Amino acid sequence: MQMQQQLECVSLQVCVSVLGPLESVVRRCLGPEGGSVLFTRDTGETLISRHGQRVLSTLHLEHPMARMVLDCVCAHAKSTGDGTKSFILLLSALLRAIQDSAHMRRKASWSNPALQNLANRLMALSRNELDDIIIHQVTPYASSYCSHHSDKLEHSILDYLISGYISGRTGAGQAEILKHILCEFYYKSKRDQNTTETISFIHSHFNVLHTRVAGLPVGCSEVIEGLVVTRDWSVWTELRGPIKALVLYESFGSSLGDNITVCFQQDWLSRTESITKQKLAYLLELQVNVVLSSVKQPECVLQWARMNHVALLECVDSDQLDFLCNINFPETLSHPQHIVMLKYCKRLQLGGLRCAQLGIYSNAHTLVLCAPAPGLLDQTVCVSRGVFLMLQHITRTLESNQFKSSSVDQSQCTVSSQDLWRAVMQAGGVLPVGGVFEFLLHHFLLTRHTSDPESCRLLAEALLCVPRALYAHNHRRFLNIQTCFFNDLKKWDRTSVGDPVKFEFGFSEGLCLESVSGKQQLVVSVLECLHRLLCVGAVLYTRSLLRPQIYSEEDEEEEEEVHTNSI
Amino acid sequence: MSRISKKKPALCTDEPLSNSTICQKITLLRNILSTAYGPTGRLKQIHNNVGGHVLTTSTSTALLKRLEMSEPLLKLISTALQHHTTRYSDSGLFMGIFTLTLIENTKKYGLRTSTAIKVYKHLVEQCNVYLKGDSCGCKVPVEFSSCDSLVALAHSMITSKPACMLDSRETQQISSLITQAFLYSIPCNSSGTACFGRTVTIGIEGQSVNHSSVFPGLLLDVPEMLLPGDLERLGDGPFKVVLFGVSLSGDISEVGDVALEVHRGLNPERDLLQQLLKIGEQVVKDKVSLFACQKVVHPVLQHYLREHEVVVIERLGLALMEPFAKITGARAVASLFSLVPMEAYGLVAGLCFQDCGSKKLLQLLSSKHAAISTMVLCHRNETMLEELKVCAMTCQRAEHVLRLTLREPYALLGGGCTETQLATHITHMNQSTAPTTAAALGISHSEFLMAVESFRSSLLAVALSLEHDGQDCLIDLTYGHRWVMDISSQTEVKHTCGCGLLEDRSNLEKTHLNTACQTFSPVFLENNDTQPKVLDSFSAKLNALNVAVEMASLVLDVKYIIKDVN
Repeated sequence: MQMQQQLECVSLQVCVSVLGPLESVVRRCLGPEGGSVLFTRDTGETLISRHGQRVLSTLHLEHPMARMVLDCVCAHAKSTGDGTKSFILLLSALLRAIQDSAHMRRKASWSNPALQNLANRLMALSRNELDDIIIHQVTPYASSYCSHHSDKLEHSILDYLISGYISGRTGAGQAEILKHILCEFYYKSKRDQNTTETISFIHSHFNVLHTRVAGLPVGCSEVIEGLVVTRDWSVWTELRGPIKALVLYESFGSSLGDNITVCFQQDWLSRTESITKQKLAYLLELQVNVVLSSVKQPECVLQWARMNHVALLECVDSDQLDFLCNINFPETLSHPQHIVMLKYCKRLQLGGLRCAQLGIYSNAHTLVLCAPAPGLLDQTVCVSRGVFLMLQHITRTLESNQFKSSSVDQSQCTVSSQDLWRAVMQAGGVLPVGGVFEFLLHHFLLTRHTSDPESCRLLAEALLCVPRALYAHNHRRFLNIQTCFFNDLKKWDRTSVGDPVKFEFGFSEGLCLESVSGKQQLVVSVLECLHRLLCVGAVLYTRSLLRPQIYSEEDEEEEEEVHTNSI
Repeated sequence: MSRISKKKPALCTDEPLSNSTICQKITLLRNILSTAYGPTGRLKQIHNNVGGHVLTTSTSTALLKRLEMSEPLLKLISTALQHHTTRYSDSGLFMGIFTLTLIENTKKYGLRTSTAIKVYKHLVEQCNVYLKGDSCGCKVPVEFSSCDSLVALAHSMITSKPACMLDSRETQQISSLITQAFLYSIPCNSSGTACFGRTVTIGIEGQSVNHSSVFPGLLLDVPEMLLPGDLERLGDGPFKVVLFGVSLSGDISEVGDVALEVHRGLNPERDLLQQLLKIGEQVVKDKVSLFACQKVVHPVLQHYLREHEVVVIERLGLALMEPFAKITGARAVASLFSLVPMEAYGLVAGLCFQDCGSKKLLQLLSSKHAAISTMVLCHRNETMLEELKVCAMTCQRAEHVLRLTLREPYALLGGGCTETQLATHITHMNQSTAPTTAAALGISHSEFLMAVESFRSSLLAVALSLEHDGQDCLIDLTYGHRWVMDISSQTEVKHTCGCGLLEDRSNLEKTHLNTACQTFSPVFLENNDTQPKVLDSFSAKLNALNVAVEMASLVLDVKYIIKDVN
């Protein structure tokens, strides 16, 4: 194949100008005061979102550098489910700060090796110093802050975490309602199970455990016991008590594939029917009362169900059937047929449509999410899913931390359900939202004695861009909060660890929390991404097919970033 | 190697609400909706410029289904409105006008969007509390002991659809028919969970509206060869019924998409026909009088059955299967190769002919008081079948609204009185508590008052758009009802307010709507003998109010539009 290649040099200037537009989009929808982004397609679909990752990926970015940033954002979001908007803000603030520092030194621009040197130093900072600052300075602060407010936090830390996550992602009106419904969902699903297990269970089965209803206000959302299938029963009879249900993945009648020839014999038609009848009669012997099928069944199966008081539900989502089989230890007949036990079967009205409700022998509940328009519904679902990803990240980090600290005492690893959140609190795992983490890190980075004050200063200054964007509509408020907070911090610095501190800095409006570990991960990811950006020397356009990822992180050499544009 | 085309970058619009073309489009849509609102609403004609069908309507459902929105924000509102009307069948225009005026007013008063959203949310919650509470002046309980309020509800539904072209007497008749059909659909024996029956609507053109009526049971098209004599020969009921859900046409195409290989000497079609005739024999032996099939019945089988004095109804269609099964108690049979099980047979109490205008229909009477009825709607306008359909649709919706009242047995005052009262109440409530509420919401006092004012004037704007003839709309300063100043007619007829609950008195102080006035708390009217004449559905309006505020918040919240052009 003939190669036509084009070379484009990448400088700091390019990076800054690529990130500029991204930043301006993201800035619009940051925090509770921000707005949302409406996304439309020529097919007529409309979608509303405040979700940073979603907004960025719908832009169809063209510049390879921008796409590389997007890859980093996605990787970060996948692990924490949080902080994509701050990611872009922080990254572009860092880039700008680097650019400005060149101007201050009266140099026109950074030389390439100098830039790379800086990038390496920042990486080193994130690897060595950041951990230290978080463990020895931020976490103690967080834990003493939490113990100071423990009377308020004690029982509702989860509520605050959820509302902290939601407030930046949905409109002001819906956040409150959604918070209540998600908390209810969580508590009902949990009952007396392990917290960590519940969260990961909800997170991994979220697709099955929620139902969407368009056309109703968000306030109509509810939590329903068991599993909801958004289909009406094809054949319905009132059933009581434990019920044996047959799960089918294919048509029960004669299953003829495509493109086959049938040799027509004397009584072929009647024979195929009688085979089906025999199979159905066998089901009755097994005392099956409910048939759940993922496909449409032939008319004779419907008739059989009507005659024998069997309830029949067709076109069930096969994921839901899989879920039923997985949690139920099914009895398998022949390969695609299983028998599961159900607690009860009901009919249900959801927003004027009839649905089926299946009671199962576990704590699983279904989250019914309502919204006036489908585009909005998508956002609500997306946020709800994100909440559990975020919670999972918190519980996992806590567990891994505990594992590290107390590998001898294994019993401590299995925290009881109520204590898990208290443990999170005591370990200093959470901080109030609204830029507290950024203020803290800023302060500690500046007051720290390190070998590399320049990169510390760079990072510290850039961190302030996040709270600044949060209070963009009211700059005076930002300054107020900042001074108030730093006064507090100075007081805290003076007192020794362990002494009760009086925090004057409080939040009058609804208290919300966010996890420290997620924030730390954010800073690390941004610095990694920055390192990658600064190491790129040139973009090479090629026409040959590439593997999706050709850059590797360990490559400290000048890396040439290559993307296909057309094949 | 397949060619992958490069994706184009998306088009972006920043701050869509400060874009003047988008604002113009919002105003245009608001104008379209508000001019169509109410009993005197102006009709809209929709047609495309290459000719073809012309639709005349003033209902939100029909209007928005045909209107292609170019602006994604408007498309969003339009879909939300359609979702609301499919669920509640009423108050679609109310929702649309309220949403759009809220958006416009927020811009007009220069409110910050996040502030406006917070305050609107707060206010709509207050509205919910007020409307659901006991001291609400704009709510009347629906008495099921008399059907006056039910008829009034249906009446205001029909009058708000001027495209039906009914005069007052006809409107009265149709609304009482709807109420009648609704009462038929309530099952008598309420053991266990009661389930609503069905009302099947048949439209007949070319007849005057006065011929419309409601029949108990199910009305079907008479099979061609059935004569009145045949029914007489059957004698008195009850009759045994069998219902088939599969095709009895004798084709073997039912097998599926497979190639058939037939041996010499075999004739599958003849075998199948033999089988069909066997069914016929069994049915005759079991003394069945009515043989119904969802699909086609083979002519030979039909002939055989008719010879044995069995009434055959074919091509029933899927829509009628459920009411048919309900009314007869028959279970649809699907197998051709086994005997029809005894429990699959059903019964009808009687069969008779009904003349409905130009059409002859066969009436099936239920033997078990199944709550099935048929409403026959006639309309004089021969040429426009479409209008009839709109009419039929309207009637179904009116019935749906009546059903909603069973869940929440209240109705709201119509004629704009609910809006004016609600606006008055909300303003009054928030006048005194403004500083504390504003502090709780984290906004300034003046911002809060502005947002309340924006909400109030949006509510009043809905009440104002009921009037299209250039007459003045007034609000009284005691009860907070809406009045129309009638300059032309100085007749002796007692002047009443919009909903007809209040009569005019000389000492009742009134002022123009949408002018600033002293806030007051609307006086709660107790022990009033007069019944309001215009009523609105409670649940539909409540949902519309909530959805409208939610949609307005959503649109105000949009700061950026990304348009994918791939």
